[in-house]
Amino acid sequence: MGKYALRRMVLFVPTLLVATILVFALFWIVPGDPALTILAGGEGDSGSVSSEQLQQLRQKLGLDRPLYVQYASWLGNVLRGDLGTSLWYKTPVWSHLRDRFLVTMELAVMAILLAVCAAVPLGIVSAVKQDTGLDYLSRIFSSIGIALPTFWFGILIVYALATFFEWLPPLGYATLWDDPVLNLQQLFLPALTLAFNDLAFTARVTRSSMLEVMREDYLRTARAKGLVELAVVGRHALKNALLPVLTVSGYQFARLLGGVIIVESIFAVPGMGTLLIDSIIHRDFIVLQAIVVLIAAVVLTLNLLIDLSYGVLDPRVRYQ
Amino acid sequence: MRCFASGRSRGSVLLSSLLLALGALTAAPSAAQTPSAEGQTFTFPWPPDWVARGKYQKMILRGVTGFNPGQWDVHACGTLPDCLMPSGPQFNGLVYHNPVNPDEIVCDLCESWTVSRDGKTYTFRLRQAEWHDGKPVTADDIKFSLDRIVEPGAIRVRTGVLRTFYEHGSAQVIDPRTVRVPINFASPLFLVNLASEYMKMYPKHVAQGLSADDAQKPGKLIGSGPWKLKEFKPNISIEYVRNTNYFKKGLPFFDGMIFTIVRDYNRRLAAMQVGQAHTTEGPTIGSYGTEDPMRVQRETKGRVRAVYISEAVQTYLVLHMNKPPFQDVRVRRAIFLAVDRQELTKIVRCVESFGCFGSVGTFLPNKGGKIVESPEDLAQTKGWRQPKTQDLAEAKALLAAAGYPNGFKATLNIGNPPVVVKLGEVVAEQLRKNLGVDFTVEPVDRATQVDRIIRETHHASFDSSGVIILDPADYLNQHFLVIGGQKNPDSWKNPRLSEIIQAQARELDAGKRLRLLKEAVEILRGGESHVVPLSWGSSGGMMDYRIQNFHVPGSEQIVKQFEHVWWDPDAPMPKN
Repeated sequence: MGKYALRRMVLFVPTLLVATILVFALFWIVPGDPALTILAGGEGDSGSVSSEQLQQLRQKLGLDRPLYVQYASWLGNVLRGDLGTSLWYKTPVWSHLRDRFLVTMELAVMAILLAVCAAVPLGIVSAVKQDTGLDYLSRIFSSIGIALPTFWFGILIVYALATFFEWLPPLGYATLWDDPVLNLQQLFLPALTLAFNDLAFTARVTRSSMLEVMREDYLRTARAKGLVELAVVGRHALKNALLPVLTVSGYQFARLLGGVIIVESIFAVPGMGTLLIDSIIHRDFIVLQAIVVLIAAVVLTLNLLIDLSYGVLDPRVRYQ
Repeated sequence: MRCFASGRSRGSVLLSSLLLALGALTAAPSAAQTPSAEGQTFTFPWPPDWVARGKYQKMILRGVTGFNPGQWDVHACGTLPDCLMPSGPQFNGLVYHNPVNPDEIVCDLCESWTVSRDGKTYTFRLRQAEWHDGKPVTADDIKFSLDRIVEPGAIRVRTGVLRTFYEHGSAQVIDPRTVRVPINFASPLFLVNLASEYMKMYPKHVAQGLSADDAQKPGKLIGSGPWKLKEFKPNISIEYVRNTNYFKKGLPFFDGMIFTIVRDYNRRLAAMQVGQAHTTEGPTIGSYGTEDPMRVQRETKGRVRAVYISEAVQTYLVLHMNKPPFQDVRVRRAIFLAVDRQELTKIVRCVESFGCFGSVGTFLPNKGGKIVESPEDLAQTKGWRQPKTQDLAEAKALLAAAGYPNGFKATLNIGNPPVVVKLGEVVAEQLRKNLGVDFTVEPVDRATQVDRIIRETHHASFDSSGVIILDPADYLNQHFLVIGGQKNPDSWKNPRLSEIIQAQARELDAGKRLRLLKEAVEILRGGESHVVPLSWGSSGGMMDYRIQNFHVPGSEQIVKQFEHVWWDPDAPMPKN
């Protein structure tokens, strides 16, 4: 397994490289550049800029160099451990990523915990009480969860809270260490919004997996031995049914990183998502590239960990 | 003033008239005016009456902003919300718009100014003020700041206009508190431009050691203004503390300000609705120029007050002459005539039960008390006449003469804010229905839209301009003075219009100047230029009803410091 893991990690490098080349190329296909957003403004603005001023700033920012030179220069810096300086903020990219990454990770972990903690019991109940009112209710709930886009659910939450309760999560941001209560107040609803879709999906997977396992002979044997239903389900069925749930949750976690972009924006959470949107609006490709590298690395690592966990959880799975 | 003129030669009388005109332009009821041998002096004693009514509160003014700033050097600002709004509160200008009577220009860092008899020299006497580091504000700092604004070769999008009036290095320091500023020609626009919020004064000892890049970083530049920047947390908040040594004693009225950065528009509305913020950024900005602030006012039963500036931002059509058929003046004129601005404004800017948040587009803004394009005048004007039949008949004839009797297909580059998309759809439908011109509307984000305008990738584009200075000439400068670039991508010019732009800047007689501006408008109404005015939009914002002493300015670009507003906890809630 060690060799397998090492081989997969070596493959990270070309994957990351391709991702950065793709983003870089896409970025330059899309019209607009950082000089333009600095001088002419972003959304809702009405700037006025002359061609000379634009050209002057492009030269200063090095945007007039050929594309491959700009990419090579960026890559060279990255290889030396320098992620570069933000074209918008004029400060090191790393200082932005460091804080934002932790916020997003906290949000994602909260979301996945919420999703799994609610989805597994829901899926079990639905499977154990198959074709009863509870099962139908759970299936309706999970269908709605899967059908509702995350951003829409987030907007609905904000609208409902503001309109009916005149309350919203506090503005700004406090870290978990500085003010845990405020931090949870600020992150709970975004985490719930993110979790809703995953919760529904994971509940369905849990239900199907449980139904499959509960038809196995060894469970019939367990019941025949006189074990109480709780022990049959909890000790024997659940353990085996959880393998696909774990797999799904791992992938859902990676998927969540995509979902946070919108949710962070709706709830004004200063994480990687808002930084990503900002860097796109400002055409700050130095920041954008760094985010892509980081997110790609996280997703690749997660995928590897999920693959490796199969071998640990299911002794039949072996890697060569 | 009669005294001042009497007993002098005809030339002196003329000079006096000139000074009177300059005085009238800066119309300073707050000023004590005294004639002297050098010219006319305008003095602004501190404090004005309203300061005594203000109530200091030990509280933080909380606001929301949708912008995540990246530029902090006001001289080099490209834009209002990403630069001026966050950095401005730290600084003062030499002069500024009176926050309680925003049409009036008054002293900010200066306590008086003297205009020479020929109108070509301004001598500013400074108040006793300190920079945030405790060092005194001196005439040398003012000279340095003026020179920095017009620094040759520096990128100066919003302040470059001062180069028209002031030569680099020409200011003279008379004594530590007096600076003499010669200008290239006597102009009614010098003080108006100097009062722009972008013309801030910097401490020489701090600013001269900073590179252009470092100056753009938060906290590197300091000012003398009512607020000190405490902390900028990107994408989280901008926090200020009160300048306790502010030279305008008694101001500001809060302990600090914190503007939380909330990118999502609806979340900002919700923050105002539930009382998480006292004010929107700015406090007004074009993105709130819709019925939404009124809606929040209604839903909060008046706790949140909607604030609007009418005729703040105009959306107009840019016809790209590099693409057929728009190189043909007949086609451009046909489009100009065929747009039904009244219908457009009614559909897009007016909302049942809330009213209208805009008006029909004109070439110049009616600002600074000067009405160049009145509704009565427009009713008789081609392109604005109602019913539309005459204009449409003429437009069709022009298109037919140009070889397009059945219209043509074209592409329209527009921004993606909802109001702009709606404007684009209505204009496209009007032109399709009226002329058979079939525009494919392509909404994109702002950076893409501007890039497309400059590179002229489409047949036509939408763009918008905010009023920067309170004078109709503002739009002549923005759209026709700069050749090339975003506002005039085809470098369109008209010799007579260029003459007028120069002449009106030098014309001190208000009547003659108005005639020049009207002549400029007549030229533009020929429909030959790249600009087709569409619709004026409001700039809007929201404030808690307990915020007092906010007086709506004529432009969203002025009165941005929050130095004059206070919180009255006992203020009666206005009837909604």
